[in-house]
Order: sequence, then C-alpha cells, then structure tokens
Amino acid sequence: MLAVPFAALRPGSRAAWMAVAWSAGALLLYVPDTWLSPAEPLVRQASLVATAFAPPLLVALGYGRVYPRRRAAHPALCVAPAHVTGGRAERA
Amino acid sequence: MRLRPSLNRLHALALVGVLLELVLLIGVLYPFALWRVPDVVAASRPLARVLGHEWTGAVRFTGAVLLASTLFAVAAWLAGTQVGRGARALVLAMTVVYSLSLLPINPVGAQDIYHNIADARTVWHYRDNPLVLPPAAYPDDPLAGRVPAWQSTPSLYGPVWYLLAGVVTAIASEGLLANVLGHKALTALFLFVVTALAIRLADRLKPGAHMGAAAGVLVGWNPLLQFETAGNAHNDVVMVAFALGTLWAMSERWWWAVFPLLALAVATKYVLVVLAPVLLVWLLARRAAPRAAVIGSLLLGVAIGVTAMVPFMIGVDLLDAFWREGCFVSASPAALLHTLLGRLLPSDGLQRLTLVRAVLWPMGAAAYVVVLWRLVRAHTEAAVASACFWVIVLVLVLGLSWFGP
Repeated sequence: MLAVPFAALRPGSRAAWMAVAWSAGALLLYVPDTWLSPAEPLVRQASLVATAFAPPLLVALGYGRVYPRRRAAHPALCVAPAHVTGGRAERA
Repeated sequence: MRLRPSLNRLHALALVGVLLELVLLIGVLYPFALWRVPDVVAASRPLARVLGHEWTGAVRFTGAVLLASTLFAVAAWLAGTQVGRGARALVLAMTVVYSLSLLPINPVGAQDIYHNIADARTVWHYRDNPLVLPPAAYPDDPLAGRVPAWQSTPSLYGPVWYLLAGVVTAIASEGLLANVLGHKALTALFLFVVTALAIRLADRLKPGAHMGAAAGVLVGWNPLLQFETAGNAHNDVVMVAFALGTLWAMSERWWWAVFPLLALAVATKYVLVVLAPVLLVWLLARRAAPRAAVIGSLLLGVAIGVTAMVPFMIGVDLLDAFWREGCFVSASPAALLHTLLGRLLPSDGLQRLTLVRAVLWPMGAAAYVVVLWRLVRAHTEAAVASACFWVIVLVLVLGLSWFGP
C-alpha cells in the first residue's frame, strides 16, 4: 500500500505495472493468511511470500522483455497518443 | 473524426469502472456489510469467520479479488489514453463511489481499527499517552473492551495520526459504529486527496504526457487501496498523502515546505523517514534549489517533527518499542528465511532474526546507496518519484520482517 501511490506517478512504467501486480498480490495475501493458517509453518510462509511478492517480481522481470517488443509490433497499443509530446510513443 | 476514438476510450473506461463497482458491491459489500456483520469479529481469522472456514470461502474471496484486480489493470491501461478533463472527473467521481461502497463494510481486514479508536480516546478523553498506555489500561472504558487484539500492547503511531483521530473521537464520542465509520471516512478522505495529488503530480512530473487520469486510476480505483482505507481504515494513506505533498511542494518550487511536509508524514507513521535522504540528495544535486532554502527547509522539518513528537516521547522507551514492533515475523522474505533457518539451525527465534537481518539489511543498504547514486545522475523530476518507490520497495522486501497489505 505504501509504494503504490509513488509508482502511480509514472503510469505505464515498470514501477506502475509492478504496483498493479503488487496490489493484487497484497489483497490475495488474505487467502493464505486466513485459510492456510493451520498449515505447516514453512509451507505457510512460502505461500504468503509467493502470493505477495511473486506477482510484482514477475512483472518487473517480464516488463523489459515484453513491453518494448509489444510497442514495436503494435504501435497502436502505446499508452499515450502519438501526437502527445513526452508520451510513450515518443520514448519508443 | 479524432474525437470519436477518444470518446469511445472514455466510454470504455467508464464501462470498466462500472463493472469494477459491481464487483466491489457483490464481492465485498454484500458479504461484509455492516447490516449483515454488525459486531466486532473477534476471531484470529475474521475473513474466514464471515466467509466460512472451508475452501468455498477462500474461492469466494479469491474470485472477487482476481476479478477486481483484472478490471483495475484494464482500467489502468485504458486510462493511459485519456487526455481530457472528462477522464479526470470520471476518475475522481468513481474514486468517491468506490469509497462510499466500501464504507459500510465490517472492517474484517483490520482489527487495528478498534485499537486506533481506543488510542484516540486515550489521548483525547483520558489525556494520556497511547505510546505508553494500551487499551487494557482502561478496563471501564465503553470502547476499550471492544478491542479484539493487542489489548495490552501500546501503539506506535505518531502524533499527527492521534491528532486526526481526535476529530473522529470528538464527533463520534462513545459510539462504536460511529467511531468505526469515522475512521473509515477519514482514511477514505485521505485516499481521495492522494488520488487528486497523484493526478496533478503525474501531469506535473511529465508535462505534456497527460498521464494524470492513469495516475488517478492507479490510486483511486485500486481495489487494495480502497479495501484498506474505506474498508479497513488503515492509516498508511495519511502519511502517504503528506509524502506526496513533499513531491508536490518540490514540483511547485516551494522548497521551504518540502521537509516540514515530510516531517508530518513521519509524525504520522515513522517508516517514511527513509525518504529524507532521497529528497535531500535530490535537492542538493539540483541547481534550481538554493542551498540555503534546502537547509532551512530541513531545519524547519526537524523542528516541526521534534516539537510534535516530544510530548509523546516522555516516558517512552522508543528503542524497546521499535524492537517490539520489529520482532513481528510473517509474510516477508525475512520471515521465510527465518522459518527456513528454524529447520536447519538449533537456535531460538531472536537469534535467527538477528542472523536474517545480518544477511538482508546489508543488501538493502547497498541497494539504497545505488538508488541514491542513480538519483544524483538523473535529470528528470520524475526520477525522484521513482527513487521514492524503489526505496519503499527495499524497505518492504529487505528491511521489514513483517509484511501486510
């Protein structure tokens, strides 16, 4: 929750998409925290950490690989319109 | 002809926003509504108490979260194409709608809210210090008995939070429901402020890119932030509002206000003190910021922080309090390593925690230095926002042994 508003200041960036994934993971954290509480401690902690941290980690690792390729292949998917100065289209 | 695609995109964003609202109504408000779950859920796992301890309860919650998160991601993508005022108005309006939808739920995700209500009464009704006296110190108080967890543990928030919570106490008096709704409304109000600040800051940090609506969606339409503020009244959003205020002050060249605003953030909850070196390095590295103004702002911030905190620090063993807070170990990489070491080494929990910190904290410190080094070499104002994000990530991933939404 702390990090998300700072990532939001740069929409479309790696940090912003990490924040989207982290938000989902943090909400899903309630599931193992609640329904896996009787589980063996190592299994429980592993599931908690995987739920909270794996989604943003995967996005962080995948962003650099996927996003430039997608921009090159589908310019129409660029987040900012092409005529907008300083938008993603310009960076691309 | 150029208007039609943008209007279609705005309509698409509005449609996704309405669908997200339906998911929140059906998946969150319906099962947790205060008229269905009116009492304090005094259980170690409140969500399971309400939704059921079987796997069906987990599936219900998971389904709602996945659906809401997917719609949120689609909205974040769609909002990146919005450039008009209509989009910003839509983002702010739906932020209010989501908050209003989650205000009347039982705060099943946070038992801290009842502790916070009791702490506010400690300050404003009993004129005592909640950093010293826990809710259990007032067994005859009509609300202290409703605190389901940590009754004998003093809280560790800053004076700004107790000041704001006092407004709720003054209005709600001894009514539990009124206090609960007041705390939720207070944090929801700050979420709205953070959303509005994010919209303005995103536009200001990258002029011409028109990313305000997307930034607003990432905050105000975020199911996590809505659930944790309007739903559960977590007060992190208050310190984040002041922290974004520091970035706003920097973007406006109000150098004198930068560190006083950060001091207010730290005087709400202490963790954001990690941003002070980031802001200081950035300001000193910039030629636009006069050194005298930066130093003056820093001194003013320290003065405000000390003045606010000193009355609450009398009689408090702060090191002991931070040590106590730091010993919670769960849901973090440190917790996983701690548990793993428990399998391998014949040692007690505190010894293992010390060992875990000896491994993770130097890594975090080294990464922090790298962030600062990259910030010195950066040339855009957006770099300071990124640095703040990465520093907080480092704290959450490597610094703290407890992670929670």
